Amino acid sequence: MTVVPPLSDRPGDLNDLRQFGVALTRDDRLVLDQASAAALVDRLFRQAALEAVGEGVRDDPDRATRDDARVRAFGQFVRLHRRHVRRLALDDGEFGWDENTENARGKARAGEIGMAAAVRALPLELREPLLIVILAGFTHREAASALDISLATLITRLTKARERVAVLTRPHAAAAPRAAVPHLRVVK
Amino acid sequence: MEASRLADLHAYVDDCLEPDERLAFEQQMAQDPALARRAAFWRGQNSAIRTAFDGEGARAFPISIVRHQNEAFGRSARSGATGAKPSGEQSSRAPLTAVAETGRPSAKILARDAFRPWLQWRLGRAVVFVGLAFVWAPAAAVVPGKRLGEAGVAAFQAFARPGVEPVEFATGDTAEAQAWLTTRLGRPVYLPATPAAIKLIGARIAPYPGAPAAFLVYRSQDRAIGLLVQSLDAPATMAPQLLAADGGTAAIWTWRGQGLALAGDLDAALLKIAAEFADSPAEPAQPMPERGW
Repeated sequence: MTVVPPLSDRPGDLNDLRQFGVALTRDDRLVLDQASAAALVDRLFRQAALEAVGEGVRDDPDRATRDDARVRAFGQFVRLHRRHVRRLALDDGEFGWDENTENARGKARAGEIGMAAAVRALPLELREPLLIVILAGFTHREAASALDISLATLITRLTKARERVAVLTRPHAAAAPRAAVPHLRVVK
Repeated sequence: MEASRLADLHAYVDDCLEPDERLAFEQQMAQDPALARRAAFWRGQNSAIRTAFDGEGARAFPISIVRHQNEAFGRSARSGATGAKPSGEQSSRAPLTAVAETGRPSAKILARDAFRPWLQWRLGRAVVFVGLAFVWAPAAAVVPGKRLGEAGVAAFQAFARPGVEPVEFATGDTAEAQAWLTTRLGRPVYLPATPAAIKLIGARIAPYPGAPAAFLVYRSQDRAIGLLVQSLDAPATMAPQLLAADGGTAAIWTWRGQGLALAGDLDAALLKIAAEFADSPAEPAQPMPERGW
């Protein structure tokens, strides 16, 4: 019998998870600002923690060695977030997240947005691998395991994500300087 | 690009290669400049993404709670944890398999009394996880403006002192400085036009947490002024404000998705110059350097 803690207990991991969570959940479509993203992350984390308590025991003795708790913690968070997004998308009459869904349709004009906005403009399935690898520092195998996809799929999505971000942040040489945006978002 | 090479490229960029694999890939890059350029660009992109989201998860957890958890799970098992990335930067982050091992009831205990220790252990875990859920409560948010001001003052103190070569690229032309910084940093850098009262001396790269920043040195009469420019998730403008940081003063503001920190020994005049910077039009955007694909 093996008992595996499904959530991390290390402050570094928790901060990583929080940073990853806020970056992942804020998408300029369903979650528009930092405070809402933070609130959603808090809620998903509580949900994950409570589910973990309910789950408790795992019967597979090899699981502890195959997947470490950190990977499972992120994976659990990602699954809860996907479920949340699907529910919201269905409520909005959309089909949820897929590769063709641009989260910031009409807002992400190439060359005119910052890096964070470019990442937020990616569809969820491209944003997940990019952020879990770059922000959370997962190896590709760990990331594939946490996201429940194959390594080949992860590489494909990383390639697409990086190329789209490059296009979105590429400046136009001939473009006139853009007027200042009137509203002040969260200044960090 | 063939799939295996693409996978290696991503693995190299994300520090997932073993040392020997990394060496082999670097040899491939030496023979393929386009591959090397693409790797450098993606590395720069990684750095820019980290910077863009820097601070979003940095809310601190109360140390007393963390210590309680650490004690609950035990310290000893963590030392044997494995599975971190091969690169040094990830070595401090051990996976939590060891924690799982710590929390696992031993076979001897199970054999002696299979129920009681297990029940106690599980109740303990429940308390910890519910406690952890409540630990995840809003706390004081990090204010990156302070970090920006500190970085501006630090760069000014390091690079604008008498006797220190203040710039890497000497120019009085803001457009030239912008083009040079865009090329060097691998991301678009936008510079405000130089106010009439000061003169641009040149530009250099300055350290900043997560990713290097652009730093410009100006002169106002016989005094130096430094302007640190860093990409932030701040697409709107914010009026300049004075900030005391690290024994110096900086005027900080946001402009065109960037944070700017003006540092110098001018005190009140600093804010006036910053206001002139903030009101000035931008230099036209520069094209990015070739990316290799």
